[in-house]
Amino acid sequence: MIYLYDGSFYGLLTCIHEHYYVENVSEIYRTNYFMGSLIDESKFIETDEEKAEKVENAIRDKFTSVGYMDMYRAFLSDEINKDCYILDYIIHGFKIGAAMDRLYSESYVVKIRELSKRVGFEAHRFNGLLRFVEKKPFLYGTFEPDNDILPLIADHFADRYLNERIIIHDLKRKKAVIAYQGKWLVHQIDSSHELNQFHEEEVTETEELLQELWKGYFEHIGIEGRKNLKLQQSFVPLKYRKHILEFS
Amino acid sequence: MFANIRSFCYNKSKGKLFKEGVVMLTNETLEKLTILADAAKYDVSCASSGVDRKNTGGIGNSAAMGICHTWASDGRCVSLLKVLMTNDCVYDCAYCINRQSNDVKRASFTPEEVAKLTIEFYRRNYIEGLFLSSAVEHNPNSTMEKIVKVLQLMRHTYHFSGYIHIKAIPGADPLLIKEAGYLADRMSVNMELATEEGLKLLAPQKPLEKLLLPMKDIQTGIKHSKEDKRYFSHAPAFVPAGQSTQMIVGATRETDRAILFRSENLYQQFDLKRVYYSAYMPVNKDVMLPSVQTDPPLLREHRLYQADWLLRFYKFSANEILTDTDLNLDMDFDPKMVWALRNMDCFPMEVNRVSYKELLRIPGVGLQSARRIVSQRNMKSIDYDALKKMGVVLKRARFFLTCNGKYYGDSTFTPDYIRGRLFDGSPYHQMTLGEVAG
Repeated sequence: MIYLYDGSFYGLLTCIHEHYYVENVSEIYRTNYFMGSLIDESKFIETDEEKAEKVENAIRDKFTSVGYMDMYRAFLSDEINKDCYILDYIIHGFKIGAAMDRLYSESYVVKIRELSKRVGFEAHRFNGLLRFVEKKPFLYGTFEPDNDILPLIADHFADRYLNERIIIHDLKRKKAVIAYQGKWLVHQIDSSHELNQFHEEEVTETEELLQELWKGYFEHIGIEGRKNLKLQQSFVPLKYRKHILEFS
Repeated sequence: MFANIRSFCYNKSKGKLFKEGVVMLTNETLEKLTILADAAKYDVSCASSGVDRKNTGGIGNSAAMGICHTWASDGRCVSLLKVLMTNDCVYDCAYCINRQSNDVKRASFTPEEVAKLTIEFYRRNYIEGLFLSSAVEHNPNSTMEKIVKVLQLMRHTYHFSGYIHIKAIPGADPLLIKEAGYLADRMSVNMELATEEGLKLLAPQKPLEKLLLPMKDIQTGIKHSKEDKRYFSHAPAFVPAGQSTQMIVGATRETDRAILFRSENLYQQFDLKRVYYSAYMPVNKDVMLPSVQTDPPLLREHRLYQADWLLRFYKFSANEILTDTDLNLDMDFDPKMVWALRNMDCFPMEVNRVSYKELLRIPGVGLQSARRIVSQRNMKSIDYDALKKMGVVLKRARFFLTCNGKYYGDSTFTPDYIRGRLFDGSPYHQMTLGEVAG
């Protein structure tokens, strides 16, 4: 049996619930990533918050917090088969519990850690690479990350700019975090949303001067005799540069 | 929807923190900034790590792991806004681009300008904090006073909780250094040259004792504040991210041995967090210096960093890395490999049995993989495939370990043979067509 779900975290957890209480499942996919299968039957699972919470509590109970976060970060990745890996990870986790944290060579942990590392690394990267533009009264930042890292970086920026009103806009997923006074919420930004016009708005002269200052500084801080553009590119891949002021 | 968000923000808006218009940033600032960035770029340190601090109500926070914000054209990370207060210097150190006798453009910032610039850059997430250094314009005290002024503006006026690294100016009053220490996260005094002779030759105005004095002051300050913290949890932290220093490599004839032993001494005697090494960039013409055409010794700098890591994380002593007869580090192999090849009697080690400390001695096994090996082997024995998954670099490690008694290197276990195998296939010379025919 193959389960399909809508792509939400609770949707995935509901599938796990059905795996234990209704029918064993071999694979789980998000509906829009499912190619169809000749061998197995597939079934769409409606998200059920109650069931999902039950599973979530069980996982929190049985796994360590590190193990839980690894699973959550893996869920945020853009890997197509992530749901199958997470299923495998949870099944084994329920069997061996906290001891799973001490294993490093079993394929089910290795895969999840790999995804977790990839997502965590990108989130850490964007703590630094994200750029804000002042468009009063907001500080407005845009980016297009590979993974869905908004929930991972929101806390950091909400705390950093405690007294500022900030918007972090994920253009790829059409989502945005809006934060103020340490609190933040995620919004879906569809094509008719007001934020899209805001995105197009011109910046003020003061803002332009500051951008010039930063670009000027950036140009002068590299040492000519040690020039190494290849090394620079391995740290700042081309795919991110569009939204980074000093490279765009 | 968006209107809701605006009101969501406005309702909770409390008084404004930043008084605008007090300092204006102009095109003139741009010129100064480029001059003073050019003057500051030879300072190596850019770390923003070591302090975990939440926002205290103003702006900014600090993450223990440090955050890099961009990478310059030389591949070095830019995490802090690295500028000089001024590049107008009374000293005439031979290696320095800002030496008094050099004909370069001079500029000076006011403390207000530096603070404003830092905050505006920080708000746009260009930087993680400030790294402020300075040439000595009139005398050490007036320079240090200016730096302290910036610190006060940042911490008290802007309520900045982000990272600040400042240079302690040798010769400044201990009271000023103390005041700075309670406001900054990291302080550093640059050693520049590892030996007294080197300093005499190139920086005659900076005798060794004068450099070690502020270092000692900072060390004492850190010790006292740690002691206070044991009794009063709110005691102010003094230089919480520790102190660091930097040494130039390749400006004089100093050996790696002199540099590494100096580092070890600094780590042990002064509790330094970090020593940075900087391959000498020939910026000045001087009979005592390498010619301006010389390439910076980047590989040598790299080897010194590797040796430094062995000192700090792998519990090696400088004596083990360089024995009595070695003056310089090997350029072909990393220092850990060189140590292993010299001490073949310790190998091969059985990964399922030896202690964590011994695991760290195997070339190709790092801190993380050693930790993983120790963590898994209580539950499940470790085979060769598992090592790969744990991140061990088997290309080097396989010659020095066994898994459950089996050795995975080649048939010969001698230093010369392994050395050859590590160089790309050199002992097995593949015959070319010409050789076969001939």
